[in-house]
Amino acid sequence: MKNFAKKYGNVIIFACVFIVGIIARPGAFLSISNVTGIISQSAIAAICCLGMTFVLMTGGIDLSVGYLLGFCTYVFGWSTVTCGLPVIAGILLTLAVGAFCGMVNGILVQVLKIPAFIVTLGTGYIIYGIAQIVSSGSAITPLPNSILAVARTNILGLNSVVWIMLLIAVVAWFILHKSTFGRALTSVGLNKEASTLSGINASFTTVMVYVICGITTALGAVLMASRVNNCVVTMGGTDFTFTAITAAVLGGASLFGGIGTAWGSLLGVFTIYMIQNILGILGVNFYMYTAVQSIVILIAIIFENVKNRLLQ
Amino acid sequence: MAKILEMKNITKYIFDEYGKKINGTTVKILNGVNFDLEEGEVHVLVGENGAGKSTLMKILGGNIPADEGEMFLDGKPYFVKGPREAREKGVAFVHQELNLCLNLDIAHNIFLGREPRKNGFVDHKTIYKKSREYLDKFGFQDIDPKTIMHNLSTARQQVVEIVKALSYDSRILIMDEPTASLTAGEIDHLFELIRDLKSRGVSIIYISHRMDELQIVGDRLTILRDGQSIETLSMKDYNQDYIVKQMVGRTITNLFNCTHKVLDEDILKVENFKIGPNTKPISMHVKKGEIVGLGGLVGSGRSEFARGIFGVRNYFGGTIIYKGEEYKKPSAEKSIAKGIAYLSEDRKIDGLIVAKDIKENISMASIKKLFRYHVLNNRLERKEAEAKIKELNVICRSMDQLVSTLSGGNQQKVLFAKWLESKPDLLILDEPTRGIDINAKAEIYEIMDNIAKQGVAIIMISSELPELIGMSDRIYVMRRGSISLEINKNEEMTQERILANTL
Repeated sequence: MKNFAKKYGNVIIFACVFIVGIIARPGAFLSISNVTGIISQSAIAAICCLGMTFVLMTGGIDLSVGYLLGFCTYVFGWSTVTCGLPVIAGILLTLAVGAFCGMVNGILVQVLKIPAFIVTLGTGYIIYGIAQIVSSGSAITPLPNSILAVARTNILGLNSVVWIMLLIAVVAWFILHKSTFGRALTSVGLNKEASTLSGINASFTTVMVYVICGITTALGAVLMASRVNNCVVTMGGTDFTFTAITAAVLGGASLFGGIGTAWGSLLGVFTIYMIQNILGILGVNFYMYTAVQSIVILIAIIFENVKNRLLQ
Repeated sequence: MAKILEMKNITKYIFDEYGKKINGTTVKILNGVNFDLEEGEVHVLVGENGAGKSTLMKILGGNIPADEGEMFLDGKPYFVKGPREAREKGVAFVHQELNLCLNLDIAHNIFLGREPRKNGFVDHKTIYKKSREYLDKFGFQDIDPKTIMHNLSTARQQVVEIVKALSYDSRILIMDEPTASLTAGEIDHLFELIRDLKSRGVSIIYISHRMDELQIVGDRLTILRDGQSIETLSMKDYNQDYIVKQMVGRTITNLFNCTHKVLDEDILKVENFKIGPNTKPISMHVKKGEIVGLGGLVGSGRSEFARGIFGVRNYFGGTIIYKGEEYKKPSAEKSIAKGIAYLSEDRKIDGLIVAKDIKENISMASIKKLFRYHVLNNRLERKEAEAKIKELNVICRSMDQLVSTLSGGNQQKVLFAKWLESKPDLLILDEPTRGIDINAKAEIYEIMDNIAKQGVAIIMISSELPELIGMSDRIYVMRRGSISLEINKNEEMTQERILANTL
């Protein structure tokens, strides 16, 4: 029982929220359009959350993803609309910018040995500041039709963004659980000294996870721009960072490193968007939204932490 | 002398992290243990790792409850719910791993969690005044209570821990391996303190693996084996062979039974190697199939030398010639690829990842050698782990068990398994038998001999002279960062000679 709760705590939380949804408004909640809606709403956050999972696994944290997301949408818009580059080139440039910002984070954390949350809080604000300057607060719209088509296409009843998310999830699952790199990063997350002594390149691993997180954020930015047909640096922000981190933690990732799974993080994102959805269905006052959501998430995380004792 | 403490028929089943008996288990960690303590005596508790010493003491200290049995303090039933209550009743614990806040000063450590107050604020003046009194009372006039803990040596930190324990007016002091990290001089000081405490009527329960010190410090001795109290004897009847026999349940005929042969080919040659900017250069060599002992005091530069060769520490000039070629700019990654392995001194800090399972620890240093194209192969990993567990006789339920749940000896075997898995040609062992029981030690020696038989060269850093002399084909003694003596012949390896060259 205890081991089950330890291993599947994220499923239990997911199931609880699901049951609450069914009890509250079975008809509205369980309709096919609502369920697919929740999934496609989660998709972009899920991609970023998977990147965040890599960082959390090494015991780090990336607080800059929300701002990076906003900046990357602007880079994408600027390159494809303002400069008129082909969409593919714009995507690659955006991913490169994301990877570069991630690399800067990683290098600061690894080389200067500054705690990750301070580094990324700082770089996050720097990115936001730069983004404000270069964009002068303006938005770029409309985007080329070819990229807008991505978010408007449905394959087998699911939005293509969802399929991209699933693809990223499979890749993330493979790297995290089936590759030697994944093994190295859990080792580094649990014990850096022992890992170094065993010939694992801890510096490379640490820098690399931030690069991965930057790339998934940039990909999220491209898909976000495609969905809303708008590029503005205020997209994302701290709310987005908060969602990505809490989703991973709800999904079973440890903020102390070493523990976490790809499918767990995915489940965590679904849980959060399900909570939002249920609040929406119940018609909770818009201004109560954030507060209620945060309280629910806090309760869930407390449950995560004390479940061993509760279920002893 | 009056009996101060009596523990009768103490039984404890396997328990979870909260000290509660695991549902439905019949496995006993302690099985009807009897133990008593007289006023002002030092009662030594010996037994192998896993014999139940720590569990018994945890029960006495109130950390976990006993499942069966009775305890009496001064003839009255003794029942406590937690360590705080135990301390209030006069039972204090001096932990093996010191439980002190290194960033606070001595006085605030002594009063941690029970700071005297004045008008609702912490009364720092009284804290310093009282601490001064306590330190004076136990003969440490030279220690300033305002010293920050991390500026103190381990020995002094231990003194603080003891003073802290005594400041509760403790009548029973539990000392768990107090000499594990002390030097010879510091140990003498500790023993003096213990004698002083005895004369004040404090009773001490003393746990140690060091057989040689028991007779000096103890009055009586109780042997635990497999959770049972085997025998209690007076120190007058002290007989080491008999005690060891009772501890392990069998006689270890010959601990160091070496059958390996040294081959006439250098695998490692180190020339003018400097571990520090101002230390004398080191020159040494190791042959295939040879066990080279590296003796010396803790801090004489043995680990630094080993880490320098392995490539996890900078060195200050010198050449390493490995397998006939110069090994430049060593790194752990390169060393492992070249077949050098380094078993670090502290398995919990940088040896093993105790929060991971056995199989992942075993494959950890061989990820590159085992898995092609960066893809894990679970079946291969399990197969390799299975073979190593069998080969080294690691006692575990399964290879999916977390390393943290193993006993010290078995953890050390997992550490060996991890490095043997990397198929080394040169194995550097840093204190390979520290903190493990005599049975496991014997097994480790056998493993070392077997490895050497296959032509692997071994450098063994050790502070235990019998082990150094018993296992080594050649010994280098280190002093202040360089080699002070090389002994080639077995008959010249005497404890006196080695000791004289360490100081």
